[in-house]
Amino acid sequence: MLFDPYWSYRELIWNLVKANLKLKYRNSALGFIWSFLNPLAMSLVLIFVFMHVFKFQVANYPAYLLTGIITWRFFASTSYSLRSISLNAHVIKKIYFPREILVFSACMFSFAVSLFEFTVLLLLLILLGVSFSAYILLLPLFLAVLFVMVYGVSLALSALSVYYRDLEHIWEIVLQVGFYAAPIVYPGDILPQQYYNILLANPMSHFVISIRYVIMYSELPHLGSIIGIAAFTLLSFVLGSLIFRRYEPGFGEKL
Amino acid sequence: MSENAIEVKGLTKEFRIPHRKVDTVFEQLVSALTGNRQTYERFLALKDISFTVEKGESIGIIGGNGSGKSTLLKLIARILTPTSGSVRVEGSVMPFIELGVGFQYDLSARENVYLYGSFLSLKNEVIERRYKELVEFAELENFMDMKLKDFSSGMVARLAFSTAIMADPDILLIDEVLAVGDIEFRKKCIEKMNEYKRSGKTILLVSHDLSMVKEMCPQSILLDGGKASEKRDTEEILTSYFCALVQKKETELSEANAKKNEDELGEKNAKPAEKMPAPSEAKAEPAEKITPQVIVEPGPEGLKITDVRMSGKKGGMGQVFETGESVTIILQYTASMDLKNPRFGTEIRSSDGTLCAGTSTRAYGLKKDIRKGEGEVIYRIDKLMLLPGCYTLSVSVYDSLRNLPFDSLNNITTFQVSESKVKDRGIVLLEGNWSFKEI
Repeated sequence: MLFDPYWSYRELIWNLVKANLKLKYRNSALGFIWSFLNPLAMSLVLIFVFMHVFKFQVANYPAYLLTGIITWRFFASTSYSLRSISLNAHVIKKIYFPREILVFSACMFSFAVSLFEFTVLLLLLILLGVSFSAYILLLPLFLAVLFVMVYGVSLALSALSVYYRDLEHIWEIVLQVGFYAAPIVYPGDILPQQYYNILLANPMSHFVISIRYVIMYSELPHLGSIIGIAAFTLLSFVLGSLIFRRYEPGFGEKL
Repeated sequence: MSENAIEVKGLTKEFRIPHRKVDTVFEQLVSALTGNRQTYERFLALKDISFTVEKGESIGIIGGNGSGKSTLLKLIARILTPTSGSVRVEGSVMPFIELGVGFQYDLSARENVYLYGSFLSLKNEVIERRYKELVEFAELENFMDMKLKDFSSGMVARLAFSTAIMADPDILLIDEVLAVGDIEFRKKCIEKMNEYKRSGKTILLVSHDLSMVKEMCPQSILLDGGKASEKRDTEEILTSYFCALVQKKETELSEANAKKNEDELGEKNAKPAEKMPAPSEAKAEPAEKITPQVIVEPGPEGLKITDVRMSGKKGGMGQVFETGESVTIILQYTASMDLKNPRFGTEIRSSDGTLCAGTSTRAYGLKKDIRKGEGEVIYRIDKLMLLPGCYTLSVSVYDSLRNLPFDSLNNITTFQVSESKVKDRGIVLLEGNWSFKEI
C-alpha cells in the first residue's frame, strides 16, 4: 500500500506524538506560552531594529516578519528531527519496526507545534490589522507540502547523522545562514539582482513568499514560487527516502 | 513450507570494526584529502548458519559468551541485517530481548503501557480491553497513575513484562529477560512462557540458565565460535557442550599442572628441608597455642587453595569415573598465618548448574585449627553415586567466624562419570531394588 508503513503503524506514531506533546507541555503549565514567547521576543527585537534603526518601508512590517518567522520555525525543527534516530538508539537496538516511523513522528510532533503557532499567528495578524480572504484556505495545503519537504530533509539528516556525528553542528550553521538567505526579516526586492538568485536557491524563500501571499496579500502566489515549491519538495522527499533506505540497514550496528 | 516458522539459510554476519573511528564529516574530509583509506578489523560473528524451526517448536540456543547467540536472535528479529544468507520468518515476531525499551520516565505508568505497547505493535484497543488483567499481572493496581521515574526497578520490570505478554505473537525470541523481578514474579513469568508453549507458539530461547533451557526446550542448537550445530536433543547437546568444556579445561589444567610441577620440582631440589608435612604438625599442636590476634585478623589472603586433585580407585589419568567408584578429592592449601577453624567445602554441580552434592568440614562437625604453612585436606567419597554425565567441582574455604571466603574456586575442575552399568536416568543413583508381590 502507498501509505505503508505509516498506516499500519499509525498507533505508534500517534502515541509517540502524544507522549512528546505531553512531555513538552505538561511539565510546565505555561509550556505552550513559553514556546510562543521565544519567537515573539525575537520578533520584537527584529521589528525594533528593522523598523526604527534601518527604517524598512514594508507595509505592516510586524505581520510580514511574524509570518516569515513562524514559517521558518517549522523548517528549523529539522534540527530536532535530525536526532530522532540517534536519540532512540536504545529502542532501535532492541525492537524492530520501520525506522522511518521515528523520523515521521518527530516531524509530526513539530508539525503539531507549528500548527499551534500558526493559530496564534493568525490571531495576532487580526490584531495587527490584516484582513483575510478566501485564499487563506490554501494555507493548510502549503503547510502540508512544507511538511513533506521537512520530512524528506529529516529523513536524510537523521540517517546521515548516525554516521557523521558532527552533522548536527553543521546543520545548525546551515540553518543560521538559511534564515538570512530567505526573505524573512527583509523584503527580497531590496537585494541586487545577482544576490536575489541566492534567495531563489533557498527552498524556504518560495514557501515564505507563498504563505505570505495567501495569508496577508489575498493573492495567489506567482507560478515561479509554486514551481520552486514543487521541485524542492519532490527533490527533498525522493533524495531523503533514498538516503534513508541506503543507510537504514546499518542502524542496529552503528548506533 | 508453511510448516516452518523460521528458516535460516547460510546466514553469515560479519562485523567491521574500524581501526580508527571516522564518524564525523570533518574526519571524512581529512581522510579523503590525505588519502588514508579506512581500514577495518573483520569479525565473523556467525558463519554460514542454517536451520529451520517448525511452528510450535521450542528451541534453545546454547553457547558460551561471544558465540553469537544474541547476534543470531537480533538477526531473526530484524534488528541487524545479515552480511549474507537469509532469514525467513512466518508470522509475527516478538523479541523479548530487553524489556521496557522506549519507556518515558516522565510519563505515568498508564501512558507508558500504551506507548511501549505500540512499539511492540500492540493495538491500543487490545490494551484497553486487557488493561485490568495487565495491571493485575504486574501487581501495580495502585500505581498506574504514578510517574515511572518514581517506580522501583522491580516495578518497572514487572510493568514491562506484563505489557509485553499482552502481545499475541506467533514467534517469541527470548534472550535472558526472565531474570527480572523477584522469585515469585519469575515463577509467574515461567508459567506464562509455558502457557505460550502450550498454545502452540514458536519459541527461541537464549539463556545462561541451562536448567531453564532444558526445562523449556526439548531440542537445542549449539553455537560455538559462530558455527552452529545440528538441532538435537537438548540433553544431548548439554552433555556434549559440557564435555567440550571439560576437555578444554582439562588440557588447560594439565598444561598448567605440568608447568607447576616443573616449578615445584625446581623448588624442591633447591630447598628440600622446607617441605614439611604441615597437617600432621598442626595435629600435634594444642589449639590454645593459636594467638587471638590471628583470629581477629584473618586477612583475605589468609589461606589459599593451591591445588585440587581428584583421583578414583583406579587411579587412571583424566577425570573419568564410574558410578559407585570411590573418589578422593584432595585440597592443597597454603596458610599465611595461623587460623582458627576454617571451613573447607566442596560442591559438585551437574552440567545445567544443579547442585548435586555440597558438603563441608563443618557439615561433618569437623573443627580443626590450622597453622601457618602448607597442608592438605582430604575428602574421600566412598561411593560416587552420580549417573553418567559431566559435572563440575567447586571448592572453597571460609572463615567460619565471619562467614567470609578466604578462597573460593568455582568450577575449578570438571569430570565425567561414564560407562557405568546402571540404566537409571537423572543425576543421582538411588541404591534400591524393585520387586513384585502378588496379593
